[in-house]
Amino acid sequence: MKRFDCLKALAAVAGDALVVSSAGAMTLEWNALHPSDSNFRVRTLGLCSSIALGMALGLPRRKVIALDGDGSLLMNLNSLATIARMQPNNLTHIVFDNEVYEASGSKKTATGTGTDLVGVARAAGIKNSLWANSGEAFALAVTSAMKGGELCFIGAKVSTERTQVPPFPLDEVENKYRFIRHIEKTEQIEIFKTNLPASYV
Amino acid sequence: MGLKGAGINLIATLPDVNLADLLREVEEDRDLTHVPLCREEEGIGICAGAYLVGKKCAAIMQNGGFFNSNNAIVSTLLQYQIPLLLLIYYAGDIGDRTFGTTGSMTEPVLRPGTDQTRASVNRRRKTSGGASGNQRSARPACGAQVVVIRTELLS
Repeated sequence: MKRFDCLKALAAVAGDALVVSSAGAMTLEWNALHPSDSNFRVRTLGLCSSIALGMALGLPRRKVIALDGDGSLLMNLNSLATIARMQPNNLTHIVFDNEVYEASGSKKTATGTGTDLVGVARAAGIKNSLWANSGEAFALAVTSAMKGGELCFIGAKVSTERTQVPPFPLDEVENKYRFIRHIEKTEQIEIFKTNLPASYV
Repeated sequence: MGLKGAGINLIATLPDVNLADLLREVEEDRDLTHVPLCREEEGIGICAGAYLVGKKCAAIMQNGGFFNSNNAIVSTLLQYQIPLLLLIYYAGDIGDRTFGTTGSMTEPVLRPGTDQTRASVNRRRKTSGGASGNQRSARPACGAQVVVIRTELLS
């Protein structure tokens, strides 16, 4: 399977979900397919699933999607146990497993020698964990995840093929501000306090 | 609870026996979202994510867990300028030999992130970099506020 095709299928059903993605080519591909201030790029390897969990707990009525990689999730396997413990029914955790550290010279990860991330997720306590073994199965899985109200974990084995897309257009702080402004607007809440002199109000 | 008074509504924790009473209060408080962690670094991510959608967060851990969290503190909290209150139990403080090495490394690792040391960094730069240099050096430290809990505070 090609990651770009999977992301296309996801873009068709993602709607206004918040999308947290692990830094790398995947983030660039996703941003090219679905440019939005609801996208948040994670710079700390491994932290994608945890940041997505925090968002899902903070806004329980909003769909949150974590776009993770095998190298990233392997670094934070314990996050699966914490996600299972908290059971956020608005979180969909997707892992594109290409069995290499793609952004770091394509050395093999532990999934390349047999670690089964869907098996790990299920054993951690995420009951609705599955491998999507074809493009059709992936499209079906993400469609039902977006419609349903259940925590789910979707694994997809993908090739290492990259699609040529533009670079990510934002630095970290700009990404943060735009994301939070988007939340304020769409959720009609105030996150940043505006401190104006009394005479301005 | 003072934390609630400050507007904190989500707390991620990993137990230390000396924090038992505080953690019990957090656990039993229905107004707080409590996230029990498996490893402290994930707590930094959870709190950062919750902050981005409007929560006010704190993370409670031992100083060993603070060491565990440093990559996330640097490349998520500081890099994105995301604030987080860290309450850290000071294991290996003076008189505690069991965690002596952990204790001895705590303040040197903390130093660049605390208000106190930010001030001292600024002083050192004043002679060479001027005011704008000071602001630049101080800015990244805005991400995390750390409160170290010494044993005598708990007794």
